[in-house]
Amino acid sequence: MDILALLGQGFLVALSPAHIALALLGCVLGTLIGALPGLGPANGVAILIPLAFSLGLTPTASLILLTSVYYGAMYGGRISSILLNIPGDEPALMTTLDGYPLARQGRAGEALALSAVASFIGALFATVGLMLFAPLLARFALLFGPAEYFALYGLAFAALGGIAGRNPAKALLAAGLGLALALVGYDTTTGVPRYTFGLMELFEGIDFLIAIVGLFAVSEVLLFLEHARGRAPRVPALGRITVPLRVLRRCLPASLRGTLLGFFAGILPGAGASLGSFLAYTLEKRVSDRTGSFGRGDPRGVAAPEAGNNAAAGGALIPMLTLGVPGSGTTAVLLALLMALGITPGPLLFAEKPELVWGLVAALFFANVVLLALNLPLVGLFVRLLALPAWILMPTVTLVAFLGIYSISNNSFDLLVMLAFGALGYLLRKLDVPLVPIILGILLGNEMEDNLRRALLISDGDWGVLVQSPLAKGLWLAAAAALLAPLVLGRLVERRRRALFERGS
Amino acid sequence: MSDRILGICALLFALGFVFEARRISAPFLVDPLGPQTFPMLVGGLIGAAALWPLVRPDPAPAWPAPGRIGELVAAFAAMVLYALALRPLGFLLATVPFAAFLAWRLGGGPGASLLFGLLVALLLRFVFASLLGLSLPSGPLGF
Repeated sequence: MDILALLGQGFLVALSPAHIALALLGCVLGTLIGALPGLGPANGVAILIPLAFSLGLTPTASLILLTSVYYGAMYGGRISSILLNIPGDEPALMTTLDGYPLARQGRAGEALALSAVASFIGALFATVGLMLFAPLLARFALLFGPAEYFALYGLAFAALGGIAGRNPAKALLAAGLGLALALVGYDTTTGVPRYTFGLMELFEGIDFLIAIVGLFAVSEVLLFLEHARGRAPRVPALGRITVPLRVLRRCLPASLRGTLLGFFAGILPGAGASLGSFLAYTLEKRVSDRTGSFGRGDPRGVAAPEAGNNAAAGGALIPMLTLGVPGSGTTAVLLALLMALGITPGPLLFAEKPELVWGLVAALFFANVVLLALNLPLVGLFVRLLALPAWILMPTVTLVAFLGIYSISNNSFDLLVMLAFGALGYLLRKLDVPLVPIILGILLGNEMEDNLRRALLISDGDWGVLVQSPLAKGLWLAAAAALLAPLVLGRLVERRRRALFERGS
Repeated sequence: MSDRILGICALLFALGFVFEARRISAPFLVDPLGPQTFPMLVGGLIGAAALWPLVRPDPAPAWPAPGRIGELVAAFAAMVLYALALRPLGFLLATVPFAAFLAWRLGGGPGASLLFGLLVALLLRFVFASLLGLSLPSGPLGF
C-alpha cells in the first residue's frame, strides 16, 4: 500500500504538463536514436546530456527526459534489426535472427507490431519490478559502510570486466585508465593538486561529460567514417502493422519468460541488456523450438529477446539508483547525468528525494504507454527515417555533440579535449578494449578513493578492515567469481552466440 | 602486434602515473592513506593489466587501408579545425564548410553537401539559439 501511495505521488510529479512534454520528446528521440544504425542508446543519451544540463532543466525533468530516451532506444533498436538485418544497438542483435527472416517473408509489419507488444510487456514488468525491488535494495544498502562500498565498486569493475568483456585483462586496463583520469585535479581530502601539470584547465579535474561524449559519440563517428557507405539502405515493404491475436497468444509465454530472464540479467552489475536478450533467445529456443523453426522467422524468436532487452533496461536502473553502481553502458551514462546535476544516487536518494525517484518510476510507466502507441501506428514514420543517407545523418550527429559540449562552458579547449577522447576511444575500440569500464572509472574513481580512505581512517590504517565484515567478504568473493567465471562461461557463451549466427547466415 | 603496442603504451603510462604519484606532496597528514596511495594502486592495476596483452596478445584488428586512414585523419583534422574556428569565425561561417566537408567525404555529392551544410547550420542555429536559448558564438560578422 505504501508503494502505491508513493507511486500516486510520483504520478502527480510525472504528469505535470512540462514533464509529459519531455517524456514525449524523449520517447520520440529515443526511438529514433535506437532505430538508426550506428547510434546506440549510450551514444544517444551521452549526446543529449550536455543539452539537458545547459538548458537548466530540474533534476527530475532531466531524468524523465533521458530515461524516456533510454527506454525509447530499447524499443527503436529492433526496427532496423527486423527491416535491415542491422541491429540498431547491441541488445537488438538477437532480434535479427528471426525478425529479418520474417521481414523477408513479407511479414515485416507483423514482426514490428509483435516486437512492440513484447517490448511493452518486458518494459512494463521491469518497471513494476523496479518499483518493488529498488526500495528493498535501498534499505539493504543502508547497511553499507565505507569498506563495503569500496568492495562494491570492486565488484562492479570485476563484473563489467568479466561478464561483459571478451578479455578480462583489457576490461581491467580500461577500469584503471578511467580511475586514473578521475584522479586528475584537486584531491578532495587534502586539497593538493594531482596530475594537473600546472595546467589551469585541469585543476577542476576532467569533466566526465566531455570524456563520455568524446569516448562514445566522437569515436562512433570515426568508426563510421572507416566504413563509410554512401547510399541509404533499402527498406522492405512493411505490410500491415498488426499482429493476429492467435500469434500474440502463442508468443505470450515467450515474452514472459524473456521478461523474467532479462530483468534479472539487467540487475546484475555489468551484464545489461545484451546479455538479457541473449539469454532470453537461447532459453526460448531450447524450450519452444520443436521443429527447427527458430532462425527462419519464428515469431517467438522475436518476442523473447525483445521482451528480454526491454526488461533488462528496467532492471539495470535498480543498481544505478540504489547503489550508484550502473549495470550497463547506458545506465553509466545516466549516472553521469545524475552526478552532473549534483545528485548522489544511493540508498539515501530514496529517503531524501522521493519525488525524484517516484516521479521517475511514474514517468517510466507513462513513457511505456507512449512508446507502445508510437511504435504501433506511427512506426512507419521512423521507418522512413531509416532511409536517410549517412552523409546527412552522421554530420548532424557530430554537430549536435559539438554544440552540446560547447554549450557547457563556451570554450574551444573542452572541444579539443572531447576530440582527444574521441581519438582515444576509436583506438581502444579497434583494440577491443571496452569503453564502459573507463566511464565507470571516471565516474566512481573519487568515490572509491574516498571510501577507501574513510575506511582506513576509521580503522587507523589497518587494511584488514576492508575484508572484516561478512558483507564485505561476500562482495569480494562475488567480485572474484565475476572476474574468473567468464573465463570459462564467457567462452561458452561466445561460442554459442557464434554458432547461432553462423547457422543463420 | 597491435596488442603488444597497447601493452607497452599502458605499461609506460602506468610507470609515469606511479612516478607522478610519488611527487604529490601532502602539506600535512590528514588521513593515514594520504593523496598518494590510491594513485599508486591504480598505477599498479594498469601495469598489471597491461602485462596480459603483452604476453598473450589477441589477433590484430582489421586496421583500415591506407586510403581510409587518410580519410579518417582528414575528418579528424577537420573536427580539430572546427573546434578552433568556432569562436573566431562564428557559428555559421565555421559550421557550413565543416558540415559540407563531412557530408561530402561520407558520399554526398559536392553540390548537395554544400546545400546540406547551409541547411543544417541554419536548422541547428534555429533549434539551439532560438528554441533552446543557448548561446552560440557569433563571430566578427554577428552570426
